[in-house]
Amino acid sequence: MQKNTRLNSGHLRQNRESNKLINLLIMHMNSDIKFIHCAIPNINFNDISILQKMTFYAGNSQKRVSINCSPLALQVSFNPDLDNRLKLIKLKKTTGISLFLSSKNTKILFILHKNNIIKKRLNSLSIIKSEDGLDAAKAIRLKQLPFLNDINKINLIEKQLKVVMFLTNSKNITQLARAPIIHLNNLTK
Amino acid sequence: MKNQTSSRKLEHINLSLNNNVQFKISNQFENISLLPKNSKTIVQSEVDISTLFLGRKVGAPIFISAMTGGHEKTFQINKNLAEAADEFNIPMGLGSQRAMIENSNLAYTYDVKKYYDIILLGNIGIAQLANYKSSQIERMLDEVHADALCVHTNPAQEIAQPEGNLGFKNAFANLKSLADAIDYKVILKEVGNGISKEVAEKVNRTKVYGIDTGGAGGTNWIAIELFRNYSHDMDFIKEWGIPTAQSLIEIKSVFKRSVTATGGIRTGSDVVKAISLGAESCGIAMPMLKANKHGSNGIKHYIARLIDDIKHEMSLLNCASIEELKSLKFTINAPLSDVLKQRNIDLNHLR
Repeated sequence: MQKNTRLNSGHLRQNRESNKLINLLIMHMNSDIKFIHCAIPNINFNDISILQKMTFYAGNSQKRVSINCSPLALQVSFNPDLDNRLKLIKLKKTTGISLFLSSKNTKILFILHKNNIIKKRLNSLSIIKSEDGLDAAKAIRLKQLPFLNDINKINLIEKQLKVVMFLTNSKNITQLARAPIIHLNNLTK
Repeated sequence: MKNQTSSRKLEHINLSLNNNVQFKISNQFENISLLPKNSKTIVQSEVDISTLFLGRKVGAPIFISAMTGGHEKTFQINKNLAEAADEFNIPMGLGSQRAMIENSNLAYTYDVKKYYDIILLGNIGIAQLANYKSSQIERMLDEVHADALCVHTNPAQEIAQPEGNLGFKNAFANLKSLADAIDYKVILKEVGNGISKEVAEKVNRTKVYGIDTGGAGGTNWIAIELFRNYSHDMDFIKEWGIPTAQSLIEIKSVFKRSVTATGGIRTGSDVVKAISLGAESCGIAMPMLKANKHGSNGIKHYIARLIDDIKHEMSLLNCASIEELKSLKFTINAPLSDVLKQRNIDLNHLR
């Protein structure tokens, strides 16, 4: 019992320390939610921004850096490390995506920052495969990372994400992360 | 733009009638149980369902909800609906009158009070308020001798609409200004995706007279617009919205003025439950439109059956009047009760 407590408190300490970093691992989505509709959103659709500010520690210097990027991650079939840096740069140019996952190793998130690749180990946050913008919005609301593996769906899912944000009166990702919801798994069947 | 508005009206009618455009999710009234009044048994013939609406006595706690107008083929629909409303002394709502502001030649399609003396609710979209002065809106209402104005809000429908207006930034401010400016009572209504307590709280701080739930569970305007939309990009929000019973309870918990329930109201049971939860009246649209297939007689026949059903339900509850119905005890069952708990809805302030 004591051993488990030590392990648990160590785990909690690690989570608190890395609170602003993205810690991800693949999990089956076992928590479903429903957004509450906002009948009079206070925003114009075109003013909505899906860019999310992410802050993390880079390199051995532990320098804190911030980027504004799409909240979606793209899962690629190749290993997104330094050997394929140019591939990632090209993908970012064409899709706007800065976050990458490898289909071969799902425990590491690759962040493209100023043409450099930063690796973050995925620890406790889930990554959720998003088939549409509603999946992506739910993932964000649940503090999880939405990802997709079809490059052709990026624009559509980002547009659909904006739709959900419009209908929940969320001008930005920060507001979406606080939008009123119902936890469907907590309902009596 | 003008012709587009008018032709869209007809498209909406045809799509509604010829396709399955109902929500799959229910209106959630099946999760409300009413406890019969502990009194002598009432027979149906003793039940009086007359009540007040906008301060005037009406024959039943139902009204014909907003549907149409703005195209020459919609005139007869509105006239038939008005004839039926007159027969039973119930109110009627008009569809959006934007078309008559854009083209005054279409005003006649809304002018049913020329023929029948009924309580008439005018209509304009909240997204259109930015385009018109309050004096134009008042003139629009004067022209059809409306008794109040419904301002409909429909962000989900606009999103799904190919030509949708997505500029809602000043929508609430415009609604507030309009309610301040015009002499008519203003009622905010959704078109089928429901109104939450958060929105109702904001409306509480304005001069808006009433809120109509326009909840999910009946006609699905997202589905109707998706038929007009050649892509399937918006299919993913097809079941989006707050069910009518949930919306009614959320609104009533924070808004103390008039509340009406619309959205999937189909039976006498739905009506008595909504009234018992605090709705002043219930709006019905699609069944009336479908009944119009047989003209005004079809609509009258439908209303007569519904009134009969309401009285039957009230007799089972031992309620002889709408006032007695409003004081009935009720229970809210799962999953709706769980939803309301999560939403922190105070049920003590419903009535």
